[in-house]
Amino acid sequence: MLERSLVFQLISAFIVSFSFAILTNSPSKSLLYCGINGMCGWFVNILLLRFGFTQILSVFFAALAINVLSEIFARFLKNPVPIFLIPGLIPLVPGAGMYYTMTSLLKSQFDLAIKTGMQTLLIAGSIAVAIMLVTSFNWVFSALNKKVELK
Amino acid sequence: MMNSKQLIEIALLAGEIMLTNGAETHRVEDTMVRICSKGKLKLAESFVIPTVIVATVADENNNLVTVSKRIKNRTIDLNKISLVNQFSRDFQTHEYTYEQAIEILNNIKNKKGYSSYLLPFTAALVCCFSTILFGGNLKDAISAFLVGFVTQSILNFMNSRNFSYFISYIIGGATTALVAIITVNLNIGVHLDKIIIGSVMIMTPGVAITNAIRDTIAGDLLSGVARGIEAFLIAVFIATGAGIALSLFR
Repeated sequence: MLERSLVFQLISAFIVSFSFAILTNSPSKSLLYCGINGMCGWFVNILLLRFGFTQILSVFFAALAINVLSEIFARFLKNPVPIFLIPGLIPLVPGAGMYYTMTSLLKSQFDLAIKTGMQTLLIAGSIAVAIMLVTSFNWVFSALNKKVELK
Repeated sequence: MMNSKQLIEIALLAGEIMLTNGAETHRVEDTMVRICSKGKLKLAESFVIPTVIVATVADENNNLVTVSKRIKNRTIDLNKISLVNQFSRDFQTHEYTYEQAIEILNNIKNKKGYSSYLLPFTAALVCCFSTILFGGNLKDAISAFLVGFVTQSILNFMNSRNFSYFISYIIGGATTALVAIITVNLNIGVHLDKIIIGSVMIMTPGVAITNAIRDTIAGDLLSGVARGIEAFLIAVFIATGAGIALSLFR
């Protein structure tokens, strides 16, 4: 199957992040890096899924990788971190979960709606926790560096 | 040498550009204080939430100046944030006059983004390839391309007429579902669910979610909660729109 091959998936993730960066009017120099960021995140996600991790954990580690890469790109290209972070995270957004929650609500299947809704919230939460971890570690390190300079 | 009034005017303009285009509030506060630190001031404070900027400076003679600015309509243009960031760095190293600084900032403010003819095509690309990521086949991708093109054209039109975001996201979600149903009935696409899931991606509140998390960690709890609610509501509006279209026309 063409759609299932790894290379095809990675190219798709690259194009999704690249085009989403254009939709948010990112600077034209950063577009390529946004695409690379999205591609790496999707690679981590799909690799962990194939090794049998749960969806929540693989999204967590993918978001972690994307955030670390964004911090590196931001230092390297002297641009704010969110410019690289936002397009990179787009392929991981649990759109499917939101859709199936909505359709099961339409059919009044409330037990199914709660189950898929909780799973969607947990995936979104794991993205949030990954961003929190990297960002707060980064701020701790920069605070430590400043103190060393003052001495 | 600029006086405190001129400095705070420059800082306010810079902060306004950043906040209206989707920067985090702590970044806006930092930038404003950094611009004010250029002069010989006793005090420079700024308080920013997603709808208001307030800033206060005091010079050597304890003359206090406070300005506030209400932010009404917000858009997303990350290029402008990057440019103002660069400007605040240059402002510390170069010797700009007041007129030069205001002119640079006004140029940034009036800068045009990518052409509005390009946006529907890029949105269509996002839809097309995210449908593939979520497991659709090539036929689904083609129909998602059409869906993205139509939805982004309608969103562009509503943005140019300053529709409230409540209405534009509901109409956006409904358009997505409607065009997807039409393409499936015309036998262009196969899986209705995968087409809709992929196409909704262009409306995801990515900026709001990321900023909500980063604001919360930075300690700006008020802004974090406000943006978190905004992101959640946008998701609910899109689902409502798509749900209305699905239950009426299917």
